[in-house]
Amino acid sequence: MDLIYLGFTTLTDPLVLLTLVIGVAAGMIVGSIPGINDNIAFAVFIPFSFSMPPEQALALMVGVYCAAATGGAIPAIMIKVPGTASSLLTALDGNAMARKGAAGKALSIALTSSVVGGLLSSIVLLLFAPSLAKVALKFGYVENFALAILGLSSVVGLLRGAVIKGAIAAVIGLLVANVGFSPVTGFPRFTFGNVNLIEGIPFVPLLVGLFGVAAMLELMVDIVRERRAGAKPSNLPAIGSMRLPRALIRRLFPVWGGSATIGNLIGMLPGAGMLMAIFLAYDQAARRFRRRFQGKAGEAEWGEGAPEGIAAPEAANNAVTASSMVPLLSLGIPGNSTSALFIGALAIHGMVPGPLLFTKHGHIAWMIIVAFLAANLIMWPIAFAVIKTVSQTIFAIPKQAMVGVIAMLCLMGAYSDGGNVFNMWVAVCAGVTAYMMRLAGIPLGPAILGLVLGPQLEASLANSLSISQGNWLVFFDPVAHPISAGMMAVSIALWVVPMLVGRREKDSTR
Amino acid sequence: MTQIISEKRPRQGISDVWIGLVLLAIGGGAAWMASGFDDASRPYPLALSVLMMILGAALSLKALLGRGEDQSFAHQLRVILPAATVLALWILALTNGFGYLLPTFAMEFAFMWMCGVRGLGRAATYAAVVTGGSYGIFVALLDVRLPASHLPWLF
Repeated sequence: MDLIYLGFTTLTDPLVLLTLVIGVAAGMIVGSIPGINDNIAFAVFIPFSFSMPPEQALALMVGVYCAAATGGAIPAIMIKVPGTASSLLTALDGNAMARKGAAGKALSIALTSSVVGGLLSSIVLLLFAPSLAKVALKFGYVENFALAILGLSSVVGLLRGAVIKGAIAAVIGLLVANVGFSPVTGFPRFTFGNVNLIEGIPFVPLLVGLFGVAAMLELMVDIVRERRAGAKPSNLPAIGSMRLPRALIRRLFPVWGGSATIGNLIGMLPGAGMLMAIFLAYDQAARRFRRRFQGKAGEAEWGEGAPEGIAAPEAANNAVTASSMVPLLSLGIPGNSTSALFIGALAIHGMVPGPLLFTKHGHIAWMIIVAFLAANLIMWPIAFAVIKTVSQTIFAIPKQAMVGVIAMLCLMGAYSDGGNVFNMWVAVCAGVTAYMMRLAGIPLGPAILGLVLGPQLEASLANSLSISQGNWLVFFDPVAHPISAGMMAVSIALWVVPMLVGRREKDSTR
Repeated sequence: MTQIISEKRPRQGISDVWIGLVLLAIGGGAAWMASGFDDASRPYPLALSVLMMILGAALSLKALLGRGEDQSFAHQLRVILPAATVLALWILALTNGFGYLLPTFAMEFAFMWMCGVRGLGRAATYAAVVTGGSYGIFVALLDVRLPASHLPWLF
């Protein structure tokens, strides 16, 4: 308790608190620019922290890290272009709700969910950081493979009858993830002799294309169709009221709790990443929505503006931000790529994350943990101010003019990730492909998950089979690998239960 | 007569047949490439390629049996092909040293025009504002290094 108090004391220095507020505001604005992902937002602010004392510098970075993930939801909802990869699922229901004239409500759900997810995760970080890190340490190759299978199985709930096309999408994602060096031997695969592909297709430009450029093309097709039909061009959705009804808040509580738990658990696992957390949370929320609300009067379809579709990914992604610090601060192992950048931020000030951080620089370590809590507390009012000023100005631009703005933001965002023109080509090709996939009825979600999990799946499979002398049953061994066996059992249940429920429903309608 | 034939043989699923065949071809191509990888790197991509071929064939077969979806892409292609061409020309201009401002202004102007912003002055003003704004955000604020330009006086 004394240590937590020490963290609070360090944070309440006026200058430290001010840099945290600046970090949250800046992260929110930068995160809301499509293509500028959490990594870039974080990297942009690291140079600013050089000249600051460590307390201020790390408070700034915590603010940027937390707020960038939340800021990404703003363009995702308003123009269906995720500001960061973590808000890609928010774009589906969020933009659908905004198009129905409830943009303010969608933004409010996203912000509140982010804040709740972040707060719950910060409390977990505050209370259980050292003990939770021990669980993360038990994850080896076998458990990582089972985790990847669990992640892929989570899309079953999202397919809704389009099983072949869903499987095609997942295979496309897994196959595209093969481009570049083989994780087993380093053999270059599917590179067509292009040096830009040796390390694989650059992920940020790929995501920018799949979502941003595809959304831009979709918007353009809508505008041209409206124009040819002689209809007056409509503007982008107005933000309007951001007040959430109490009944909706009560309804979303279980989603926030479940999604924050998923985010906490996934965030602590090194390499699992934010995307897996948001997909798992989204899947769980979809199952709950279909069970309780689908088909009722006044309820949207899933993917067409369901509040749970916004709340689940946003609560999960902000839960990941704090929980990814558990292995980083306790063991020096980053939970995801952005938290890995934290190592750099600490190193600039002569600190090494791990157990020694708590003994040598205890006030800094606990200040970082407390700063996550504080950043989430001040996020709502700052986000509200940003939306009502910066975002309101940007989204007041006429819809016809917005197409060019989105195109430029997406491609420059893709280019910024490494300063390589090749990234722009990746974004354009990915955008056209994603748009064609949408026309063909092939869902994008499983493809994204395949892309994210592909490298982990192959590497962990090869290593697991190597250490078990080719024994495929190693993943189901309840004695040597109980965590893996549990996750494989849940994965099987995710496939089998919907089939059994579907069959029972079919039988009952006969 | 035509009507009777169309009633007996609806066009349902034609697009799915083609999509399935395209996936079958892509899977086949990927499998052929994967067969040239070294022993340890081959099985995983080969298995995925074969799976892609199987799924593509299954989609075509399902559509031929009359349970597929049919989509016309003509309207969308008439919009997205010119848009993709404009983007490609912009990237080529950036790559070949035409600077940032001039190609970006031209790209923005083209998009404004394609989306129905009429009046040369209005479209040019919008394009100029977006170009200047993007330069401010990415170059001045975020310090992004632009591709080298042969026209440095034009940034």
